[in-house]
Amino acid sequence: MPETSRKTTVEQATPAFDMKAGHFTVPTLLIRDDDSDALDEFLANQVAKLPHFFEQAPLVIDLSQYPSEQPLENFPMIVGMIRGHGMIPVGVRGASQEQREHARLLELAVMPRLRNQQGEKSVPAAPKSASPKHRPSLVVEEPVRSGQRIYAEGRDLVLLAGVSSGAEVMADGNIHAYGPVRGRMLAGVRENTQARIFCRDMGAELVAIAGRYRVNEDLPPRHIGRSVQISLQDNALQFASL
Amino acid sequence: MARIIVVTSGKGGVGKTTTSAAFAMGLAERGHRTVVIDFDVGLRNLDLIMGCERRVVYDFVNVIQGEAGLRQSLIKDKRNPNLFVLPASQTRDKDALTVEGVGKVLDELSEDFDFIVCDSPAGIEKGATMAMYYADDAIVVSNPEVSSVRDSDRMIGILSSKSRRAERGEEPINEYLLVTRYSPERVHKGEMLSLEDVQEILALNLIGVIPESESVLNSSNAGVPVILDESSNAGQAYNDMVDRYLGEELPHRFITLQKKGLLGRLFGG
Repeated sequence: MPETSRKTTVEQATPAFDMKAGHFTVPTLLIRDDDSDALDEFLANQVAKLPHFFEQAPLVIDLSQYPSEQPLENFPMIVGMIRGHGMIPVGVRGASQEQREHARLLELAVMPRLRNQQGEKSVPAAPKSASPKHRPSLVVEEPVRSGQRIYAEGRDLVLLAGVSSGAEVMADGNIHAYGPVRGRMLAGVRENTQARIFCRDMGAELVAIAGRYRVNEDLPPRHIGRSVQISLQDNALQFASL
Repeated sequence: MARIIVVTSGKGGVGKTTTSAAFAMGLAERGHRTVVIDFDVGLRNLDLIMGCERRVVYDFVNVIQGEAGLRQSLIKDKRNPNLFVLPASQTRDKDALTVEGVGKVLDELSEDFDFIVCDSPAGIEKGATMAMYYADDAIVVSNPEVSSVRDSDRMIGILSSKSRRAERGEEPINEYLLVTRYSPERVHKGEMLSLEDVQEILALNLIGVIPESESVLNSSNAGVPVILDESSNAGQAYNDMVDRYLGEELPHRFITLQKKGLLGRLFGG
């Protein structure tokens, strides 16, 4: 190996490429019906509620609860519509063989299956129901530090220690927080309007249920620092003392 | 096998280098073979605080790149034969540090030293994550002030996810909190967070409280680790901190408001 001068050793120090596993929480659009007008309205509403969240956000299309295994006739239009609302469809999940082929033609990835799917379509036990079958809650015993994110997928979240400012906790179900909360709490993140937040020491930067949110400045002052239950009624967040 | 300790914070300017120097000197004074490494490539300060800036020939990056051996690069402290300094490069940048390179140097140092103190740069990018990667213990330094505390909190989260122990699922890094620049007067006036406030947010084992003290600046100007200034409160607090690290249980001093008598006000303290 020839002697390398001091100048070139710096460039050779680190490899040019690295392949690593990344972990991302990606919004998933569950499609049970191919009514494109209804979908258009639905997407418009979602984006209106959290515009910055959805702008240029990756999106996965979940077909696991679509009643047919046939590819959707207007699938290309649906994909285009999602783009039109500012999101970027990156893949499909829970799709049948034919639907996956269709997705491949549109250059969409096939996302890894959910743990309870066997490679076949899962038929929903109660169609149109927002709550999946009961899964044990995710219990977090350590404080959630600034910059960390926790997502309790398909279940409730129980926090035994605090949530620091700059941290983000999310659940498809309810959130029960026994420690002081100074970060963001988002319950019912996949349009579960029945989700609630139970918090013993409220000081969150932002609270949200099924996408309807309020920032710290707009929280009712009488509940700051105290035990509060937050629920969603008529599309508005309700605060009640616990 | 040496114990590797990282001194980190997130926020800049809170006292990491001051602490690294004092802590390393404290361990050496108690008879342990100690080396302190400056990980702040391009913005080195440890050599100034240790008073060896005029004896730097080779640095950490030279060793990683194989341009110099460890023996040639380590600077022996003139006051204590147990203590050595490995300075950072001033002309290179952080990309010169690699995980494997750093690992090899630490392995070699482990053969001869009891303690390896890693002085982390500020921030949460490569320099800081490199300094903490191999750590067994972490001293998280924080001022009793909101932005420093939040940055420390962020850093604690990173310690639990980006260290080698975290990646391998081993026992996590032992974390300690060191509060620096504490002023009971300002806490009393409500200008500064109290220890209780800081503890409530960070929830970490408190290993020491270093009071605000002019001796810190004087020591760094003189190139002497402040722990050697036994007349200063900060120096004494650092001594307590080293003893606590080594297992002694000591009450925290300099945390209550002193009512100064006339003599106290005349002669300062």
